[in-house]
Amino acid sequence: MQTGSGFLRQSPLVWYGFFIIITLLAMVYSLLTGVIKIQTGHLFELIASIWNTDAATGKEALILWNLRMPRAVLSLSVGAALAVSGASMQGIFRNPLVEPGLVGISAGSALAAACVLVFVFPVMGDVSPATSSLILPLSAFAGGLTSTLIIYYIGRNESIAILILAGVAINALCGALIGWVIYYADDSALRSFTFWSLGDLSGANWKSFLIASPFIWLPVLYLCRQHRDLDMLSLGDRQAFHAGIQVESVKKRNIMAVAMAVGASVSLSGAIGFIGLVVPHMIRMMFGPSHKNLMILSVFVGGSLMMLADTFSRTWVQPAELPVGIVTAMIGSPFFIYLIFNTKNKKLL
Amino acid sequence: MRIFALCLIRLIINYMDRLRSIIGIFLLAVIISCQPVKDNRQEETEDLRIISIGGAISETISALGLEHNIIAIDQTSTYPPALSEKVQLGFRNSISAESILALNADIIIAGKENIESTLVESLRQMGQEVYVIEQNFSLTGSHALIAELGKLLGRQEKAYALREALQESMDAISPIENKPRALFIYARGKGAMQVSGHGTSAHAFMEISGFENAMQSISQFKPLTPEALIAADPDVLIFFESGWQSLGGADGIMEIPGIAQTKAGKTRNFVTMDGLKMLSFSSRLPEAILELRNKYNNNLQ
Repeated sequence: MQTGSGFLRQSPLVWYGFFIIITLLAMVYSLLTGVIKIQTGHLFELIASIWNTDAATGKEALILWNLRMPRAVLSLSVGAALAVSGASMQGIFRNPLVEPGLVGISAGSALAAACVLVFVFPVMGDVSPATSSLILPLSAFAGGLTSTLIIYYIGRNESIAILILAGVAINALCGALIGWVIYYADDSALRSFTFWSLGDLSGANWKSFLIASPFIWLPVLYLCRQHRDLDMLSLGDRQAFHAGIQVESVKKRNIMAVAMAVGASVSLSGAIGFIGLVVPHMIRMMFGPSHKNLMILSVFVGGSLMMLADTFSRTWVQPAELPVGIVTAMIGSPFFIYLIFNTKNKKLL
Repeated sequence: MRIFALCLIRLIINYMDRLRSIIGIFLLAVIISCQPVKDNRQEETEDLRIISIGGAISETISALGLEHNIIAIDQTSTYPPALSEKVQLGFRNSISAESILALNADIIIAGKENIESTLVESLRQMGQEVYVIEQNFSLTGSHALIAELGKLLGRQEKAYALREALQESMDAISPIENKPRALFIYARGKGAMQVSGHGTSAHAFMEISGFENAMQSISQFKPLTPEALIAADPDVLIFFESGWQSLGGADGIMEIPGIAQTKAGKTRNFVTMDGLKMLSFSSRLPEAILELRNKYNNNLQ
């Protein structure tokens, strides 16, 4: 496998700085853009207005602090979680096609969330938004973890192809079960459910973000620290074992972390495709397969791409909104096809 | 001397400025303190800016004579046709809080079915006045909707007149003996056809029109199957006009498995209705009932 050019690999710190700046610029852009225009100079006054209650009552400040800011940080978190999870899964399974969606995490999370929405909430009566924003991430995490563990145990001592086939089967099963749950859904549950299949960040608010952010960021940080083990694993299970890596336990711990991060993001934003698949490939093309750069840069590239995609989803069909999953798939699929051709030519895959 | 005069003028202007703002604050205080005393909002509604979300609500607000106060609507608000000139916010999930805020509305009135509860919560947090109406699909519900909006918008008299007219027209509708069995098919193309069981607004409309819902055994909307269709054996099939077109008219409908074996299929007794008119349970309810009955009777002849 060919690695990135020498210059790119030798100065990672410069590139970390570069991508941090890109992420900040993406955030500023997403905060400035929307139905109501905010001037660039005014933005920083508005951000400062949080310490000055008089200025914080204006409409622009309300929009910035209650709508755009939580949405920007949520999309940053979700994008980072998906990209890092994708990178980690591709490392564990040593397969470039794996993404959280393919090994059943997203489908399992969505199924659990659907069950809770359709069967549990109606029984509980009027559920306060605070309760639902706690129960939904937890059940989505449980669902994602369960489906991933099932797939993991089916393919445990088999080849990776078996594991991926198991993922396809569990995905199909979850899809069928979701369809079955929808059959029992009443009209309103059904409508809020389209959210799970297409991905949507419009429900972002501080409360649900604060509840879910530890579930997202702790596993993301943990996954970023696993780069050495993943580098070893990429040599093959046996080689990694001889290098002193507890192969099974490393895999299991990574899968747990991925399930937690993706489960929590799915519960807040629905199943968003392509970020987990495309972002790690982009970075690998530029910086080679070393997991240290891959994991850390995935956080920034995944986060900023997601923020931009969400900004487009808010503004394309003004004054209405598109589900963000449509945007990521529309940008992601052509880019992925380009990647396939490109890597085929360079024999990178 | 001249400088002194200029300074004096400056001082006076400054003072006037301050005076103006003091007078402004004083006036504002007077207005605010007066507000609770006024129980009739008639005068205030002259330039009230309303965002109306939900077909039945937009229709009723317009019927109350406040059509020009509506500044924005959602996709379900299709009647009266003049509403199409208002800002279109989209459909339920795609309605964005920021667009609503940008419109500077005084009040947002929404049907519970037509708006996400999270959107309502976040709008209220940002100080918007959101009034959510849960509609009951019955004649009492229609009265309640008109009365509630009339009271909210200070048009009690107009609401009273609307309700009188509604009750009069409803009283004039004679009951039907031997209720025909009707089936409502909600279609979005041939692959997506659903029938309405009890608990749906379509069920309520059929019952209030003097028809019997042929699908008594199911609740909510369920996918249509040929066997269930033959077992239900309805006398008449009801479609939305949009659904009728998506199925390719009467000939297209006859090709749906099971239809030809029902009484409705044999006599080609198909009725199309405007979706909003049929299911909004607004002041147009009697009109919708008579339309269904007339179309059914015309098909019989």
